[in-house]
Amino acid sequence: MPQTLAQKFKDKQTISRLKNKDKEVFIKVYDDFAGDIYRFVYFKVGHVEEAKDLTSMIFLKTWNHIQNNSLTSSSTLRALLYKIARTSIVDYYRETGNKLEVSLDDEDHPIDLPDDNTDLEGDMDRASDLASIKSKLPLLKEEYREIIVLKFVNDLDIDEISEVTGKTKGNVRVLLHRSLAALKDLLEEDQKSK
Amino acid sequence: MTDRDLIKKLGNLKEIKPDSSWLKANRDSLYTQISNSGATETSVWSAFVINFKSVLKTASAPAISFAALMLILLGTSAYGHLLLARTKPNQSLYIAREISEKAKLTTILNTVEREQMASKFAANNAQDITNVLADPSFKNEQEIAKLSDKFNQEIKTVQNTVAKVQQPAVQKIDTPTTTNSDEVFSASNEKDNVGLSIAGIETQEGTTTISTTTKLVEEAQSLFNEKKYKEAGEVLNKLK
Repeated sequence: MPQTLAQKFKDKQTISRLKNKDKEVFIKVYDDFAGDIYRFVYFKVGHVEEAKDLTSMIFLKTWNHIQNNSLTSSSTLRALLYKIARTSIVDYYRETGNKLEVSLDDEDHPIDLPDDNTDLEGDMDRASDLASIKSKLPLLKEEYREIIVLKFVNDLDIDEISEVTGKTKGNVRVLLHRSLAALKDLLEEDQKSK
Repeated sequence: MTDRDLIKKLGNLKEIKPDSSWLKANRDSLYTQISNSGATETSVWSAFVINFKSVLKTASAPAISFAALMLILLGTSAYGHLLLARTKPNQSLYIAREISEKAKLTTILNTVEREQMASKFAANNAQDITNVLADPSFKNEQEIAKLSDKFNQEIKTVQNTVAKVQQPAVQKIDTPTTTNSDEVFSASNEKDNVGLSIAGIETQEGTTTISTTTKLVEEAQSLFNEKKYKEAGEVLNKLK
C-alpha cells in the first residue's frame, strides 16, 4: 500500500531527527523495526543466533550511516534499513568465509505460536501450515524467497521492494508472481506425496 | 490452493519473532553504544525546525506540489485583484492588476454579475487614472496621452455594460405588474452588492439608476476632457 501523507511526513521527520543524532528517535526506530528486520535476516540465514547478531549489527550500521551523514540514499527509512540488512548479510558471510546455507529447521528454536487463542484446532492448522511453508521456503531460489518475505511477510510495497532489491517495479511484479507459483508447486507436491 | 490461500498462510510467518528478553537486552546495549558515540536529545527548537522542514519536504512531492500550484493559481485568479487594487495606472505592477481583473472575470459564470464586475473594474480604473492625472507633479506628456486613451477605453466599457444591461431592465418596466408600488425592478436578481448597481428604475435603497449612471459617466468624461481630473474622479466616485 502506498505511503499516506501522514506516513510520509512521519518518515521525513524521523530521518531528519536521526540526522540530528537523536538517540530517542533511534531507539523508537529499533522498537518499530527490530522484529521485521530480524525476521528478514532469519529467512536469509536460517539460524536464530546469527539472525540476532546480524540484526544488532544492522541497527548499529544504520546509526553509523547517520553519523556519516549518508542517510540520503533512500526514499523511506524502512527501505534504508532493508538495504543495509541485505549488504550486511553479504558482508558478514564474505568476512567470515562461511557459505550461506539456509535451513529453517532449527530444532533448538522452535517457533512458538501465541497461546492466547482457545481455538486449538485453528492453532494446530496454523502450526502445520507454518511448518510446511518453513520447510519449503529454503528450497526456493534466494531471490524468490527474499521477495516473498519482503512482500507477504514483512508487508513492503512494490516501490520499497524495488528500491531494496535494485530491480524495476515491473521485475518485482514478475518475480512475485513466479515466486508464489514456485512455492505453490512445492507445497502441492508435498501434499501429493503425503 | 489459490494464491489468496497461500498469501494468507505466508502471513502466519509474522509469528516468527525474536524473544522479547533478547530484544530488550539488545535495545539497552544499542542505547549505550550510541550514547557513547555522540547521540543527543533534540531540543524543542530543533524539533520545531525539523517538523517545519519535514512539512516542506512532504509538500515537495509532485502531486502535492501540483495541488498547491493549482490552489495558488485559483486563489490568485479569484482574489489577486484585491491584492493589487492599490496599484496605480502609472506603476509597473498595473499590468498585473489588469491581468488579475481579467482572471477574476473569467471565474464569474453569471453573465449579469460578470458585466457588473467588469463595469466596476472599469469605473475604478478610470477613477485611478483621474487621481494620477490630478497630481500636479505628474507632467509626462507621453504618459498623460496614454492614460487619457486608457480613460476613454474604461469609460466606453462602463457605457457598453450599461447598454447591455439596460435592455432587459427596460423590458421589465414595460411589463405591467399587479404588485404594490414599492416593488423593485433590477437588471439582475442576483445583484452583487459590492458591484456597480445598474437598475432599470429607481430602487428603494436609492442605488444608482441606469439613467443617472449614464449621466454620471457622461459628466465624468466631459470633465476629463476639460482636464478637470479631480472633479471627474469625484463624479466617478459616485458610481460606487
